[in-house]
Amino acid sequence: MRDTALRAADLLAAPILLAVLPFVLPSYDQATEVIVFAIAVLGCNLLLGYTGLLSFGQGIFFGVGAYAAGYAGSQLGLGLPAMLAAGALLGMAAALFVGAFAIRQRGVYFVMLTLAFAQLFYFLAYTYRDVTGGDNGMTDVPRPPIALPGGAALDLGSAPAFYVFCAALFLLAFFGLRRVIDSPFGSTLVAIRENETRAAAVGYSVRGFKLAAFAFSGLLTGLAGALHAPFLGIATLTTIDVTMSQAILIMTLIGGGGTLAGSLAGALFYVVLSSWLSAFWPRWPMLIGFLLVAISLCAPGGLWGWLQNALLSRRQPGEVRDAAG
Amino acid sequence: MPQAEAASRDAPMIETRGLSRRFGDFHAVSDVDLRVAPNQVHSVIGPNGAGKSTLFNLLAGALAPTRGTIAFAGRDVTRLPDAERVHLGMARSFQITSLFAQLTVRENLRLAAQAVMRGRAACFWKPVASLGEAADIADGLLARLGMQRLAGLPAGTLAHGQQRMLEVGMCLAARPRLLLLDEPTSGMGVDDLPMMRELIRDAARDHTVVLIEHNMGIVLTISDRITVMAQGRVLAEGTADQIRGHPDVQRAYLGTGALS
Amino acid sequence: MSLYLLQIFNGVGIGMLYFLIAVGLSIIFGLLRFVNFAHGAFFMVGAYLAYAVSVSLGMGFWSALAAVPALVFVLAVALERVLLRRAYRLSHMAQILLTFGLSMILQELAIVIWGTDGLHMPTPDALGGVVEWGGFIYPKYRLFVMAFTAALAGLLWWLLEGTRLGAVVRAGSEFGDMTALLGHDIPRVFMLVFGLGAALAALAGVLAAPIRGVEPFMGLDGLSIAFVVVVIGGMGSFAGALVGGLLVGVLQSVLSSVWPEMARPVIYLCMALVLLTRPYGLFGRG
Repeated sequence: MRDTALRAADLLAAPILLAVLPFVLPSYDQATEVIVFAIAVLGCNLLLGYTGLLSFGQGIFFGVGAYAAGYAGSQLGLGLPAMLAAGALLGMAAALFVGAFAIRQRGVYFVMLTLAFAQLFYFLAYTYRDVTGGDNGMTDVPRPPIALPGGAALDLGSAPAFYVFCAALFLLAFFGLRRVIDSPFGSTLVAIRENETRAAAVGYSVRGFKLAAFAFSGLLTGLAGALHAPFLGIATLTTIDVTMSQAILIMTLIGGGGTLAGSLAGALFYVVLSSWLSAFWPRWPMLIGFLLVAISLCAPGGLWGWLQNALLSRRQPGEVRDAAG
Repeated sequence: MPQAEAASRDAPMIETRGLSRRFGDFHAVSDVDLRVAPNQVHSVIGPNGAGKSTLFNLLAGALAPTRGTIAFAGRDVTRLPDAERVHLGMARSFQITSLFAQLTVRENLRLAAQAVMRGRAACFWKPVASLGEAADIADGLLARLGMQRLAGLPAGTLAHGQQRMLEVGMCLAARPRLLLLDEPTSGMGVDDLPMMRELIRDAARDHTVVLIEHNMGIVLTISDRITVMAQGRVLAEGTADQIRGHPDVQRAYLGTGALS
Repeated sequence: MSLYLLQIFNGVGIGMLYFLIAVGLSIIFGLLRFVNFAHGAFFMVGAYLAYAVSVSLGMGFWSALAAVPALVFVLAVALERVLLRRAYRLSHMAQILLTFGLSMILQELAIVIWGTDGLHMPTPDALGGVVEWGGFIYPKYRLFVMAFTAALAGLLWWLLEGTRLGAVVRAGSEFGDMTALLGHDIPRVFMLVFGLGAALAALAGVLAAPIRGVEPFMGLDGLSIAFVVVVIGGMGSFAGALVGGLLVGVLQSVLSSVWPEMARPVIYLCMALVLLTRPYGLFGRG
């Protein structure tokens, strides 16, 4: 009952929220930034909220998406749809790569591995500066108009136009993700989150499902990165460093849950906080640190039900060592 | 599922040869040869530390053996992971209740039913409701377990006895050939026991059941065959009457008359 | 002197430092089953405090070497008592978030006090210059680091295997309840072990400071490397931390001459390889 009400609210709230956002914020550009990160939150939430996997590697897929789109646009001269496709698909590929290794471990080791891989990709991006531009970044990322049938072109050069474009993609991503969550596949992810041992005992190939979750997450996060590059006109190391992974994670934790409003809220909170605070206190990440400490110790209930359960859950009884390693 | 009784009478549902598992220097299970005939209730009993649970985990695939082989319906499954064995027709319950506690009773059963529907379980673009078969199986089991009114409650909120019943229910949801039940009555109150006994007896009509149990009342009344374990080895095997009078078995239980 | 030999020596030195960082993490997790994502922060704090003591206060390297691990020990124990103890009963995810938040706070604090630019810490005068022995020329300081950490490793080994405290630590990690029943004060043991682990990381920071400099992001670097070493060597294993640390250190050093771009990434690829072939690490017990 509560669920249906929430879903209806989501559907109605969607166009309203997205229409209002640019007027609540100082500029269309900042609203676009929120939307782009909200898509990344969707990707992170699929892993964290639905599958129960805490990944410190979301920045990898975001950065790969950004660089891929940037490369496709600036070096290969491809159009925007191709840029986005490149970003999303390469993000997915990176996720499959990282996932294939990280999933071999559970719990803490898994988290550790995602962090280690985040470092790997950062160093690779830093090292191969012929491709990525290193510290300077991949500059001149274009925002080419989209060719429409009939000879016309959709010009996304202006901030409002790009905002509308991103908002449309966000809606697409959100409802696409919802469909996945509501499928048998989605219900299995929840089962894995709830009791992985039981899920395996009942016959699910847990590894396969986790890997698929990674793939979806990479796809979404890569798409977000691919939007970020033409948004700024540049793809830099900050899109792929650990700070980005942290930021996405924090947005997801704050926003929580599977609601549209939640993913927007988390991104909104972080973007606004960082831009507002950084104006007069460059060390504002310290507050984020305190926030994390507070969240983990106090586990706010209610709104973020799944988070609370995740934070307070004890190790499952009847857990047997995994014979398959 | 009626099977050709004559043809299957010779082919054991489970056959282990020299099955062993050690942890460092500790030999939890040593050299166990077990044959479970199809459509029978085969109980495994023994004092604590006899290796029953380890044997179970070996059969289910949650643990890999250090020596020996396991064959399921004539097929070697020794190296097969637990999730795969489910698809061959093996389902297990846990001694310490392990359900999807936050999910509803119905969803627990539905998930268990869905798991064996390989391709359809992985479908990510159709809504869950489209997988009606799993939902139907869940509803059928709810009726069979008498839990229809509990269907929408989180599984973790059920009374202990009901949770134990649900554990068995989840096994049945996979429509297996073999049920591995690990102390299904563990912690159940005396009033709930008859319900469980009837459930197992009912299940035994269409399935092979391997049971670990401490409750002798249940073991002696529903088992077709009993294997007694002690210190990781098979001590004795036979029918209920044979086991009841077996001197080694009585000694293993310290002659407390626990078998009477 | 052969370049390879030089780099191998460098690698052993660095590797021993990696061992120091990793062994603390390994013990803390092996015993406390507590995930400490702030472990790298202790490494960083050690380096910064070393700078503060030896340069800012002008008390020199040796004072720093003695004082800083003790200071960090106290800090870690205080943190454990006040903050982290509440997290033991929480899920691993909560512990990760908590300690990660803590590491962010410490990192930002370091930037507030010392700024974002790297600091240079000079090698102590007594250890300046090189050792010449036939054709063998090598910096004195790096030799000192190798000798010192080797002695420390020996001491740690003796502590874990040869003493009653070590036995309690090892027993506590496997049979927490039983050990408590036997009368050992488990919370106190945990607290001391946590402090020890942090102190070791800080000590590594002190020793590393003259070699790699001091900057605020070295905490994350230390943490990631500790993870890699622990995955390769196996969690909870002293030998694993040692072998893993040396392997990573040598690999990194040799590659920095042969194939510099891959010096950093290769250790992570090595970790991936170990994951594929031996998921519990070289010395890990499942």
